[in-house]
Amino acid sequence: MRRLRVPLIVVLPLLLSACSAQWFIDTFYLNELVTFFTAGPIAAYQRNVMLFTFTVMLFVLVPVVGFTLWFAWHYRAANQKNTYTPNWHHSTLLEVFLWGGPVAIIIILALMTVVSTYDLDPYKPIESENEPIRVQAIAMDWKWLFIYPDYDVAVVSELAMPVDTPLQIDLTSASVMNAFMIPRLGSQIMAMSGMRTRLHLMASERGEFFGKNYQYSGDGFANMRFQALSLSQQDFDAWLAKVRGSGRALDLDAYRALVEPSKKVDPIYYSSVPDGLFGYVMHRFQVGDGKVPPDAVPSDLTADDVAQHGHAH
Amino acid sequence: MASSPSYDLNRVRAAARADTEVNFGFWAYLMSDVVLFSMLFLAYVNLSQRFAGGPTPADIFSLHGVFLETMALLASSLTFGLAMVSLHQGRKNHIIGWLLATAVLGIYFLWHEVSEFVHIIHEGASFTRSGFLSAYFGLVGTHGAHVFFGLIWIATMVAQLAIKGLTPPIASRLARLSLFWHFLDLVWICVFSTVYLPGILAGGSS
Amino acid sequence: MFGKLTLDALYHYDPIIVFANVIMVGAGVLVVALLTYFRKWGYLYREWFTTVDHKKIGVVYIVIALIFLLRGFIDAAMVRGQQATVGAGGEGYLSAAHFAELFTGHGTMMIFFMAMPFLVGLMNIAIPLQIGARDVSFPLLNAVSVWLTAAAGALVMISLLIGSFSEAGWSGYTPFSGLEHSPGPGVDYWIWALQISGISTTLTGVNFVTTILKKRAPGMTLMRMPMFTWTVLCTSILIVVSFPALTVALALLALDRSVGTHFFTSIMGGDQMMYINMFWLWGHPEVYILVLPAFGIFSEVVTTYCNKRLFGYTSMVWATMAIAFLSFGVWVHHFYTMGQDPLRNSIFGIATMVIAIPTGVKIYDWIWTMFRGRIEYKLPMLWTLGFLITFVMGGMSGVLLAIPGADYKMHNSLFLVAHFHNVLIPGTMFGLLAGFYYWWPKVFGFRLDEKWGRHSFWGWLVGFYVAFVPLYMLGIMGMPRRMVTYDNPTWQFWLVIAAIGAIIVAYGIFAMFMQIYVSWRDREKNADLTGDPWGGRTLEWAIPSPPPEYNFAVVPEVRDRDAFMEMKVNNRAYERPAKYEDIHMPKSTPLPIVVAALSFFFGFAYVWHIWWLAGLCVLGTVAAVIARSFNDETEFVIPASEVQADEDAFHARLKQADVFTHIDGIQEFGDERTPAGAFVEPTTRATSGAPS
Repeated sequence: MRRLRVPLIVVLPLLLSACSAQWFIDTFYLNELVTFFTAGPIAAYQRNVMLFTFTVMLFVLVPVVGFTLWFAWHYRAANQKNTYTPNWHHSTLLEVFLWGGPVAIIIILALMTVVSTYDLDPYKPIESENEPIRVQAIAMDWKWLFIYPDYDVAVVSELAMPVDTPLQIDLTSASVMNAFMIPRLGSQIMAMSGMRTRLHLMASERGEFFGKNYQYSGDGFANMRFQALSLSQQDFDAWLAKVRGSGRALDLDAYRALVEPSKKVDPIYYSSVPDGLFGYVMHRFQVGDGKVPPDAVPSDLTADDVAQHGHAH
Repeated sequence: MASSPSYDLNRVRAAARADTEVNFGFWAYLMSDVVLFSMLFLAYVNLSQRFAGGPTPADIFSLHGVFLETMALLASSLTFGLAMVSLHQGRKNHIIGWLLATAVLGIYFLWHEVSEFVHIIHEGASFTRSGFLSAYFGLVGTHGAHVFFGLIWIATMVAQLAIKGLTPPIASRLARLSLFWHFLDLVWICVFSTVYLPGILAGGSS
Repeated sequence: MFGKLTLDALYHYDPIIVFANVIMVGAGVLVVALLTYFRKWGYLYREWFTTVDHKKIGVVYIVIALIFLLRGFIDAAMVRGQQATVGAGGEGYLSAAHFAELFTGHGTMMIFFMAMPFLVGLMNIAIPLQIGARDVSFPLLNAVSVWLTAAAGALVMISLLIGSFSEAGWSGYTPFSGLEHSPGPGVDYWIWALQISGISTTLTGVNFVTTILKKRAPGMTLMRMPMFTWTVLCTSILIVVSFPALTVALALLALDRSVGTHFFTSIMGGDQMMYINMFWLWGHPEVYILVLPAFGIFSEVVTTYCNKRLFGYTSMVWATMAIAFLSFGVWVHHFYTMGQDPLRNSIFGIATMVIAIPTGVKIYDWIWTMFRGRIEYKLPMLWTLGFLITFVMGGMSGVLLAIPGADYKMHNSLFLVAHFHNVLIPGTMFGLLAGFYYWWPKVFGFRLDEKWGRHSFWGWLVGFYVAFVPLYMLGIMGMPRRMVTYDNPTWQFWLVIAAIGAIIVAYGIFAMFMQIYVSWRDREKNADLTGDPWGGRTLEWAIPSPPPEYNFAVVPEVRDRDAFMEMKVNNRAYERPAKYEDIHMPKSTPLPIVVAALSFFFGFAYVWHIWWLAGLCVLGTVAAVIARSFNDETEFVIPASEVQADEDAFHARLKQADVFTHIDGIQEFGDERTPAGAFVEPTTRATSGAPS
């Protein structure tokens, strides 16, 4: 053993210096750690929560691993010279530390938990100079439909937003339970049929981010992704014009065709959407069989009224 | 024969005492049944307003029928108590008589419950109609199933008493059956005050 | 006549499933043929199928667990293989449906048919021996439990051949597991396999609560119980209180699927979230049901191989009870992302983190038990050290996920998958294996081979890190769980590494089976003559290995926490009475296998809607139980002369192994009142078997 140790001490730093930081990043795809390379305030906050917790927890990890290895080595039976106290089994002072240490750490983390949970509540609007844009997301087998009620357009598998402008996303499902997340922007939330959940997100840089359903939903689950586009206001307006120019209306017939199961769905643009479609889809689960009939959307249903009947607030 | 037990009465009484190992195990089982019913109560309370456009409690419950059911079950607890008194006196035929009386009341209760179910289903308010009705049938039906198994148990004990006489193992089983029967009574009181009472009161005020 | 069952159920589109069936059916035929050829059926029936002996029942549980360890691992390996080879945008060798069956099957089997039976098996073997009892409180019920577990396992197995298994994940979330979205028989197989094994577990819980509280040897107060007994008591209470929630959730889901009720549907007033609440009301306590007894095993192992008393016994007991109690208040952390208000999420987040306090205390107590000990690196101690170092990582990621703000981000990702494997594999699996190695000599009378055991340990430990560190990385890279394919090419690098980890774990499993074979081959050489191969401290080591049917010729009197160590110190060990007495033991009975067979057919009939058969099975079960209740001749007597002969033989072996001279070497031990400074010199302990 002793003969081995000397070369290792010499060789290891050499090896390490030979591999540059870039080599590590490239080999292990460290630049793909999207949880740490965030593109919005929510995700950045969440990254900080994780790093803070990790740092605090090091005060547990290091002593546990350290003491375990030290005692395991030092008090091995072969080492007969050590003190051996077979009857020693209690020390009040030590126990105070053993209980007190974890209690102290958990108090710190609990305070941070309360603050961060309220700050990161998906229902809490994001403060910004820009007016939030409303989006209504409907999870289907196996694609996302995004309705922009303010602009009277809808898109499948693509979610565009102006940079530095908050999104207020209402979610429901036309099928099983789904979970919506754009990792680089943050927070995940479930979409459930007959109920409405709400999520606020904002991109603080321009770019294309991948978004996905994270809750297993059947055969097409793996490919149920969408592209989130964070655009300048100018580009966003151009994008809207492009959607409006598609000339395809999302009437109830189109909706009924769309809601049928389909996999790997590429973006589809709809230039108009019936008012109240989102609430109507929820409502059909509450009182009917979950299917949308071909006649018109009732005009007296507002999404807020319908959501009252759902579980989530 | 009734007043001259075939076994030492003290051994019979000791076997019926509550602190034996088997009785303790039975208490543990009853605890799990408490949790089981709690879940069904939670389901009922959670779904009790989800009518999906279908009937409400006021449309389907009748206080009259439930009152008779409740009285029958309460009375059956009393008759079972008298059976246990007879056990401590060592009177085999008295036990059988009170057990049969308990069974008759239990059968009346079940018959009433089943005819109520049939009536409700005939009115188009089946368990497939809404979350509320599923939960109602689930909770009340589970209690009914327990009563049904209690009746099978009573029948078995009557047969064992008749064939084998008042032996210590049989006394011990009767003690547990007694626990079970009183437990079902207790659950029914909860059913009455969770399901029927609020349902009927809500119907009365509207 | 046969409900929904048609010949189509035997048709499998997937050649992999056909191949698996050929292997399974082939192995079944081979086993039956061999048993017939060697005329073992009578022996099996008399000694195993009808037994009510807790030790044999424990062995049956562990055999079930090992079979499902293999099946569950094969499923995991196929999932890893698919994700490692599929490549970005590829199709891979598995269809989406088959992939879903695999991850569902893996979770279901590992929890219900590997971890639970393994755990209950060890409970069965050790608990009556540790508390100085001759059997559990309800031996017949115990036998019913084990064969119900076997019946439930058989349902999972048969689903491979006839029909298919669930694709809804091991937790079977509604509405996906509802009839509309999962119309096949898979979810029904899953429901009834879980339902039957759940009822079996509930009965076990009732049995062990009663056994531990009512059957302890005289002198064993609650605070003198061994730690394993304490943890099993807490686990049994958790079982009794939590499993009915699963029973109800599954029963209502079965009703939704078979008679059209609306408990958990997404339409007509059903509430899909109610299922998820009920499931986790059971599911979170279940995590502690699995992990607490493993903690108890670590306590036994640490004290035995450090040759020391357990540090902080009272703390340990309170910590265990605190964990058991708190485990009921945390279930919402499984769905922070459902849209509750931040107040509720904060409360459940903090409750979850608070569990880390007693858990941390337990870990520190084990570490301080090692302090100033004489640590022998036998296999169980290796697993314990592997646990201590690995588990703390899992606890760390657990605290991270307990914070709603972080969970919003990591939920449903591979980070979550890595976390719970990082808790369950070291926490439960390593504990179960430590207990397996620890109690094996007690059950079979010979020790397991150390060399292959070390191979197995390093295979598991290294394989674990290689398999799951990549999953943490992938979670941070944003990869969701349960992906049959993906289009991000950078994920594949880590998935390949994870698959290599699975191969290393496979070597660990292989080495364990090699170890069992090698040890069995050399069982003469590895024989444990004294019944005390490790210098044990608790009562199970006071009796021969394997123990006689009645365990204790004389019910021992307990004077200390480490009851057997106290006996050795005070020269009370192996004391013989002036006269032995007749022992009453319960008779073997075929009732348990009859009930289990009927349950299996009931489950099968319900899956395929063969209602007449289901009805017959219920009637048959009730009739069998009533018939049995008329039988009062349920015990037989082992005469005192036979007990005397057993004991004579045992004492001859003890003399042969020179135990009594060694025991004289154990000078001092002391009891609770011994001042902390009165340390004793190293003990020379009884060794057993061949001279070293």
